[in-house]
Amino acid sequence: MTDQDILDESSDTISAYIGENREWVENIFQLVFELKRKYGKSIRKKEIVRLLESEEDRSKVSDAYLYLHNKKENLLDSALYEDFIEMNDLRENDFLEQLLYPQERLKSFVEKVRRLCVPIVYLSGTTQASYEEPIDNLTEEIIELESVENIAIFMKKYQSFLRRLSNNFLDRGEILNIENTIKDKLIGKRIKRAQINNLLTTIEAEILSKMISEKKIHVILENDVLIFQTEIKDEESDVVSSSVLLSPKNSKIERD
Amino acid sequence: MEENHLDQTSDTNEVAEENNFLPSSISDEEKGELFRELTTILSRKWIKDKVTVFGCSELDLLLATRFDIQTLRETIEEYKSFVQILGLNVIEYDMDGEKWYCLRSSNYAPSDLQSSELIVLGTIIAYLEDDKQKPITTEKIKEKLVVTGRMKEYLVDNSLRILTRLGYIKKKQNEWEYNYRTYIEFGDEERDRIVEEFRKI
Repeated sequence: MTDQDILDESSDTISAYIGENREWVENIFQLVFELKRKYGKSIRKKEIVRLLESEEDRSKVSDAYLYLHNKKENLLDSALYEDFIEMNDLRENDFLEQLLYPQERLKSFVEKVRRLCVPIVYLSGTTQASYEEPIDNLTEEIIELESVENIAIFMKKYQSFLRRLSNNFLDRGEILNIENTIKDKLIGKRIKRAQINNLLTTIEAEILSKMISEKKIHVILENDVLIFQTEIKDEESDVVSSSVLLSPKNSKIERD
Repeated sequence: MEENHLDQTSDTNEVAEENNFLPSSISDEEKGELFRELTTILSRKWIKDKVTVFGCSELDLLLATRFDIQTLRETIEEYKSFVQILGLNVIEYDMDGEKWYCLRSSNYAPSDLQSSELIVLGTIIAYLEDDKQKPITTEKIKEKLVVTGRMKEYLVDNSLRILTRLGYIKKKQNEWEYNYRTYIEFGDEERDRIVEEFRKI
C-alpha cells in the first residue's frame, strides 16, 4: 500500500464522516464567511490586524478545505487566503514605513500629492493679445471706383478700418491721469537722455512736452542727464529749458 | 427653472438667424483669429475678490464675442478639439453659480504649489474625503502637523493663506472647505488616493 493510497483512504473516511455531520460543514463555512468579511473590510479601510490575531484566525480555518467541497465554498476559502496574504503585505509595508523618518514620509507624501495634481494651464505675461497698429505698416493702393455708389459700398465695407485710423480725443480726466503717471515716473529722478525714450509712450511724450511749456515740470540738463523737478530754485532758473526733444520707443498699448 | 432656460435658448436661436454669426458663416481666417484670442482669454490668470481665478466666465465671453449662447457653446466645442492636439483641455467649472472656462493640461504640468502647501492641501483633502460630515478647522490641521512636530506653525498659517489666495480652499464659518480649483486639479480618484497616502504619514 503506497502513501497516496493511505491518504486517499483517510480522506475517504473523513468525507464519509463529514457526510454524516453536515452541521459541522455549515459551521466551518460560516466561520470562513465571517473571517472573509472581517479581512475584506480591514483591507478596504487599510486597517491592520495584529499578527497574533491574524495567525489565530488562520489556524482556525487551516483545515477548512477538508470540509468544503462545494465550488462556491472553495472559492470563498481561497479568497480568504488571498486576504491573509494581502494583510501580511500590508502589515510588512506598514512596519517598513514606520522605520522611515517622519520627514522622509512627509516628503514622499508631497511627491504623491504633486503627482496626482493636474494643474490648470495659464500663461504669464500680458493678458492682451498683441495686434499690429495699422499705422506702422501702411501701404498705398489705388482703387479705382467708377461710381459714387461704389465708393459708398467700399466705405461701408471697410468702415472698421476707417474708424481705427481716426483720432483719439482725450478728455480732461484722462489727461490728468497721464500727467500723474508722468510725474510718478520722472519727478525727482536723474534719467539719461538715451533712456527717456524708452520710458514714455507717444501720448505721454506729447503731454510731457505740454507740461514743460506750461511750467508744470522743470527740466535741468546736466552732462547728458535730465533732472525733472516740480519746483525750481532761483539760482538754477537760468538753465531751465522750455522744451524737450523726444522720440519715444515705448510701444505699450494705451487703454482708451 | 428648466422651462425658463429652454425659453431662453429658443429666443437666442431666433437672434442667431438674424445675425450672421453662426460658426458656418465664420471664415477660416476669422476662426483662426477667434481661437487665438480664446487661447489668450482662457489661459489668463487674474485676481477676483482676492482669489486667483483662471480663464473667463461664460457671460464675459458672450459679451466679448456678441454670440448667442448656442453659437458660443458650439464654438467652444470646436475649440476643444483644436486645443486637444496641443495637449490641453478646456475645463468648465462653477464659481458662485456662474459657468467659467479655463485650460488644463491633459497630462502633466508643473504645479504652482510648494512642498509645505502640498502637505497642508493634502491634509485637508484627506480629512474632508475621509469624513465629509466632520468639520475641519485650522486647529485640527495644526494638531496633525504642528503638534506632532512635522511642520512649524507659521508655515502652516502661511500655506493656508496661499492656498486660499490661489483658489484651492475657502473658509466658511471657521471651517475649511474646497474651492473650485481643488475640484479641477484633483479628480475623485486622485482625492481617494491622497487619503490612502495620508495614512502613511
